[in-house]
Amino acid sequence: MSILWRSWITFTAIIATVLIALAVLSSLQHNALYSDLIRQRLSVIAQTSADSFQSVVKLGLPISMVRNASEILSRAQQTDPQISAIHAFNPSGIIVKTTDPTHPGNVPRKVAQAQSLADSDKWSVESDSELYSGANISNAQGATVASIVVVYPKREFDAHSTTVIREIALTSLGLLFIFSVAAWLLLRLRLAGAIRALSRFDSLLSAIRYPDRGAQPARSTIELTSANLGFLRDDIEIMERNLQRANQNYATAMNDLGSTDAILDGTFHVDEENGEPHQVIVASNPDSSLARLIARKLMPWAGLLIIGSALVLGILTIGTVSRSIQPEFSNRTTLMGTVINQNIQRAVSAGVPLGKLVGAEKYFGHFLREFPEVGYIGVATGRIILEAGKREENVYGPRRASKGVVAYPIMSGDEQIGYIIIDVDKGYIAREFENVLLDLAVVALVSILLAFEVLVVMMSTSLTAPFNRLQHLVALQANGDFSSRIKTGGKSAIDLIGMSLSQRAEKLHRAFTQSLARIASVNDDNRMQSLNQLKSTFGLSSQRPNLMVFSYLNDIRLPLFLFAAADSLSLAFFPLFTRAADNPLSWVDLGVVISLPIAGYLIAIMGASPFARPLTVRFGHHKLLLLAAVVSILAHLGLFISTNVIEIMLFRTMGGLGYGVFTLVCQDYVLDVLPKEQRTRSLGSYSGILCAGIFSGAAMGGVLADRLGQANVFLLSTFLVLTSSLLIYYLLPSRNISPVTSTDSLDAKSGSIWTPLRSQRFLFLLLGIVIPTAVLSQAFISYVAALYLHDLGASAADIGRVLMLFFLMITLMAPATARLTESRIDPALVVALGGILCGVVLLVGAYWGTQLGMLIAVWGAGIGQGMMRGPQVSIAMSLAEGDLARLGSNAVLGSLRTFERGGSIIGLIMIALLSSHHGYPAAIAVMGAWVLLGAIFYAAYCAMQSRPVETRIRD
Amino acid sequence: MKYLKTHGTVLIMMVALYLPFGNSNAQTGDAFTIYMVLWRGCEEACESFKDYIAKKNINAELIIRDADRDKSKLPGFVEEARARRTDLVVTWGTSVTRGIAGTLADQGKPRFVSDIPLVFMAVADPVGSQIIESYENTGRENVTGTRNRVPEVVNINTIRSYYPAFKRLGLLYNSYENNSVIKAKELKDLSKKMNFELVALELEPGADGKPEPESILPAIEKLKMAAVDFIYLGSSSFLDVHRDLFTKSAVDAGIPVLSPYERLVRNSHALLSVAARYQDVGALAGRQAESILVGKKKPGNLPVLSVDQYAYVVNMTTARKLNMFPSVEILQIAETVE
Repeated sequence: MSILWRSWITFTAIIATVLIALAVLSSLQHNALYSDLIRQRLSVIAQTSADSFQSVVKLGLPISMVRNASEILSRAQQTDPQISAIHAFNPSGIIVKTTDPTHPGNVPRKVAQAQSLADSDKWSVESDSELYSGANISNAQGATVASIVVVYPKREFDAHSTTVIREIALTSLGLLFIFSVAAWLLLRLRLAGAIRALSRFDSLLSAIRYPDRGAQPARSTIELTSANLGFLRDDIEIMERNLQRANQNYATAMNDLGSTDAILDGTFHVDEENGEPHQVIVASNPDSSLARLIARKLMPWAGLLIIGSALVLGILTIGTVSRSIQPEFSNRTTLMGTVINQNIQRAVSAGVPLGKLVGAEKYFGHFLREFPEVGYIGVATGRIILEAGKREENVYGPRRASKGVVAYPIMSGDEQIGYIIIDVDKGYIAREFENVLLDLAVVALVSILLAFEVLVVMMSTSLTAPFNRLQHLVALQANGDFSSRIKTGGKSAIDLIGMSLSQRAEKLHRAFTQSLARIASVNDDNRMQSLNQLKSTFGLSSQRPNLMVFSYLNDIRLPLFLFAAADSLSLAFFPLFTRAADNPLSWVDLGVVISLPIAGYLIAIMGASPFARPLTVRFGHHKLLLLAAVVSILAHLGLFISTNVIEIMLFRTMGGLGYGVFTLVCQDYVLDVLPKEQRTRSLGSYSGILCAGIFSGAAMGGVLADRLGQANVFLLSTFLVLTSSLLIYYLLPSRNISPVTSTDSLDAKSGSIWTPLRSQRFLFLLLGIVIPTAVLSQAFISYVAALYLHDLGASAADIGRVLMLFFLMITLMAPATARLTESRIDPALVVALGGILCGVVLLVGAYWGTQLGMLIAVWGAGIGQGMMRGPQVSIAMSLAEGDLARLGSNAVLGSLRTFERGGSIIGLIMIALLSSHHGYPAAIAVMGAWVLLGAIFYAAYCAMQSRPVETRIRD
Repeated sequence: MKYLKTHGTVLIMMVALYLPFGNSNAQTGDAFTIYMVLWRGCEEACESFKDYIAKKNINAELIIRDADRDKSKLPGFVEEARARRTDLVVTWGTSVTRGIAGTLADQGKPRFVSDIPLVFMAVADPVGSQIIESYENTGRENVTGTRNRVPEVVNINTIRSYYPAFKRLGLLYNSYENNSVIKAKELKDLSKKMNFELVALELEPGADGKPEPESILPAIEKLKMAAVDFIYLGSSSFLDVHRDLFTKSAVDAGIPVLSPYERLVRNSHALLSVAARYQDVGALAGRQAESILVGKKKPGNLPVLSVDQYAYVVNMTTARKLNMFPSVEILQIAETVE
């Protein structure tokens, strides 16, 4: 398959991935929004009915004793003929009054659960066939004594949703076609030269297969220089020269061994894997210029096409979704007008003169508080006689007068005596739309992040990796080294060249073995000596050539992303999931019970920290990652079937163990397979991928739980981890990888986790940077920020988005800043600057005490963390290879990780106590000061050493 | 036996008059005898009791006696009930119930019914009247009953919901009716807890100890002078009988009346009530009778049943006269009558 076809299929597959992901997620998001809006509309009826009964409860009577309760409910039901029933039920779920003629005894379990778990007096839930919107009624002590629930069939919702999904699906298909064609045209244009250059591989292949035909490579070189061969020209030339040299070396070796292809052909099968034992080596990141060149030339176009397709679909989807949901805003305000109108009309019909309506303004005021999108309510008789709120121009509300027809007339007999004016708060509606846009933007972002990871993996496996392998093998053979071979499976010229070269190495080794046998039988020392010389010159042995297995950072990109996303899918709803489960620990405080699974999860991660690296050394990355994935799969499946808190705690803890081991082994993989000079950058990439996964999972978990059900999200997590483990199985080398960048010295002692603390440098790194950073993540991001934002009046959606910003910043900044450290800036300086930034923004957030202040704090903390994540591990590894070489990297990393996790847990408890005694701003200020001082001390320590730590270690 | 022989003819006539439904009892062969004592004739509760017995096909002979507001007749009814070997005694109102069943301290005294199952209804405060120990456990083997009044806290809350500036409550009571005195005391205690002032005036008793209707108007004038915000009308059969005079006088004086009797709002001039319908009271007493007669339950083991359906009723004609309209909020749940 040509590079054009390969590239096109790759591009199309990635565009399809992003479009499918975006279409599916947008459809889910639309359904969630639309369902929510209908439920919000119904909540107008539920809330106003509850308000009516609230008056009775205030008197001291239970709803069940209100004689005309059913009549009140029936009146409410008449406001929307589609409502199938309205129930009044007590906190046990027993229906005490209903409009349902079948008089069911209890509300569905889901409804009772939604009511009992609701944080506010308004709540809603949906089943497969119905939408429910409820409102609670409280007694004078504030305890819920009853609830009203409006039941609405989903027929209208389903029909509407199907229309929208069809529209999104058709748009996606159309865009896939358009962007796929665009990709083809673009690639043809961009790769025209490269394709011509790569067509030379066919002639190169025949040159290898039929060396007797001789001069073809030389001729091709002449053609190459005269033709426009695109960006691959230089690399092809180098490869051709190397191939020529490899050919010569092969011919020389064969000649010296006294053998020919004809003699060796058919004596063995080159693909035989189970024959003689052979050593496996791993070439760490043979990041050839050719592979990088292809990636660099294609990546911007891939990015353009992906982001372009996502943007176009995003814009079109926003239009579709907006058109779909906009009428619902109007429906809701219309309903409000109808309800207010009915209530005022009821007073007038009862005989109260319009000018003597008692408590109307108080009633309107209450209405405005309950339904913030209504900005103004007034009663007019030609002039305004009663009003509440601030007058605004009507946006989505019904028009007051159109062709002489008043929208909400107040009648006395047959005569109209006044009308109701309702103004909708424009700002509120704008904010609601803003929320919709932001939600869809997050969906688009998640799709792009996923597509990016898929892009990198597909580019790597289908394009750059084959070039890498071939280039590496050709270079070896050009230098006369035939000790290695590669395994190829494709049918392209590149794969076949690789196979032929590997075959040559096999033949040489076979010829060497035969020669060795012959000479040994005649006992000729001179010939044996010259044979040994040939052995060392061409890297020959009596066994099969070494099989080269290549390992890349890209191997773990997608698996890590999927694993992290799977793990964080449940973050948004986990406390609710725990609260909804049966609680055998009824004697324990509910707040503590809810925190138990999270505590188990964190403790499991901490417990896994010191053992991850020794286990990696023992079992290898491949086995251990698969094992961690199995543990994680079992944990997710366990959570899927869990019914009580103890089971949830158990499986969440198990999940923590899987997560802790998986992520740390991935980090070890990065440390072990990449050259030291690429370590910081790769660790930055690792942090970026991990946070991208967490961001995507956390962002989508809520909407997925809303549409699929909370338990089913765990099934989805299981599927994602399963996919991740399959990728691990196929992409990662299955055998142990010897760490190529940090080999523990043989006399390295695996001391306790305390031993590295004797090193001043390690201690300063740990106390000044690592622990404060971990506390910032655990205590600030996972705990205090959300609660403080809530206190400052931010909605749950706003809080979610602000916290997502943190992970997004790490995703973007970690690889970018880590890249800088490769050549220009000292990692210690980057780490210290990151710490200082984190400290300053936290102090700003605490001092400012506004939502904007917290936004800046979270945003800055994300950037700061992004700067620190990669370099801090890299510095620790440098210490493990320098000052603490006697301990080895296992002990150093184990110690670092354990203290990091342990410190974060202790820090979390301290900050929680501080928050409860002195408030959130104080806690944030203390964290800010801690991180800031830690970073300053660390910077000062590094400055006091005459040269930066990293520099001295490099030396 | 002598009594039976003497009154045999009367009995046959009573059966013919009151129990046309007695023959269809499918559950027992012999008809039960229910002896019902009323205070002021067979009104809604009495009628609905009868309807309930008929509707449930209970084979019962119903003997009705009306004291006609005369306590002195009650001992005779006790004797008659005992002599007729009735299966159940049903009493209406506090005075009748105290006169037939006596108080807790009267248990076992031959003057009162202690040996026949008894169901009371329309008793304002059976615990305060010392007829029973509590609603859950009457403390008397042969007595159970019904209750149909919301706690007075609800009535005060109702006034406040209607008229948030409420501070002073007026009450007229008379010492001839024990429940009236008890109510005055209860409201006095409540005024301290709920922070309002109670102006309780006793109606002047006539020569026979009973209050005279002529005393109502001057008393209302006095309440007006005392600047009460609302008048409470309840727990007095005397005032109930003269409800039109009372409520009209109050409205004329510009004072709204709250009553625990719904009919005072629907059929008279009281402004508002949170009350049960008397029909529901009678049906509930019928349920208790059914449990005792058919279900063979021991009355002492049956808790006093409460009517569970109440309504907030406002008389809009009175509201207009007083220029005191209910709020928009109240009108969402209130039943309005003209």
